[in-house]
Amino acid sequence: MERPDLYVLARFLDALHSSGQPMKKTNLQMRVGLNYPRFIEYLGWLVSHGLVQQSKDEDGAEVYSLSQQGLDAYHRLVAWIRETMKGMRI
Amino acid sequence: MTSAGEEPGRPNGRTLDDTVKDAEEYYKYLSEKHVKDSRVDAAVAGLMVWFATFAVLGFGVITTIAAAEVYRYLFGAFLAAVGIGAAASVATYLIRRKRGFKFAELGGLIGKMKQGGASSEDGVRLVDAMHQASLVLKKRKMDTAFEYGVMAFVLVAIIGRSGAIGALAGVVVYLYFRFEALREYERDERGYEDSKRELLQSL
Repeated sequence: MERPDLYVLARFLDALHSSGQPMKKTNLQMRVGLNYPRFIEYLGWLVSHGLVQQSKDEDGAEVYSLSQQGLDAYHRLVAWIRETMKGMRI
Repeated sequence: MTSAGEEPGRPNGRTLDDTVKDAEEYYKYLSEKHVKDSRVDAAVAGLMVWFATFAVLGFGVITTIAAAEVYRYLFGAFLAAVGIGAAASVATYLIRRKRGFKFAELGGLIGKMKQGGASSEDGVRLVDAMHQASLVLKKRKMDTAFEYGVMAFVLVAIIGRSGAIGALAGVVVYLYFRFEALREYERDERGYEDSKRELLQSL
């Protein structure tokens, strides 16, 4: 994926941040509302960029959560929204 | 949506909802300004086109019609100028109103965000919508270039007593102000896209 959609990335970061705990793939896919191939593509991008970390729950199922880098990215996104809105004031 | 300084899933009470409030104020400001500017521009465009038409037709009447008939023809020129000026005014207003749909999009988004908590995706959409709406106001400067052009045409045509030189001056003034407005518009657009790209690269 050359240039991911900012809206979709924000949706992923939001979903994982608001959940506050690791999410199963299916739950995460439902939250972000993407078709499976697209979802896997974005999830792969987030994992490869270190924003999302993969782990296993007590049942051995794959779960995903925000890494520290992901949390920082989320905060940068929020800060960008605030700053850009401030800059638009006439 | 929560903001910086908290742990995931444990909002610290500071939310993006306040930015929705800011956006709503900004939306109201933009909408009111847009309506006010549309009316002013329609009136100015109508007045200028009326004046330019009357000046050109009136000058033509004075130089070509026999003295006995001048007043009758001048009245005709006046009426024709009023008609053309009114048409220009209505056209300007309609074009402006058409641009207002960007504000409707922004209003819809704010309404939706007010109903539920604002997510960061909503925040990005809101920033995009606000940016689009602010560009509408910047486009106004391009219309102002036309008004400056007409003004230059009228002044130079009257002072220089030549419609051709007036037209040339009008075109030059119009192109200059349009170029400046377009440059500013493109700079803002590029700046916004660059900031989005930088954000994406920083993630």
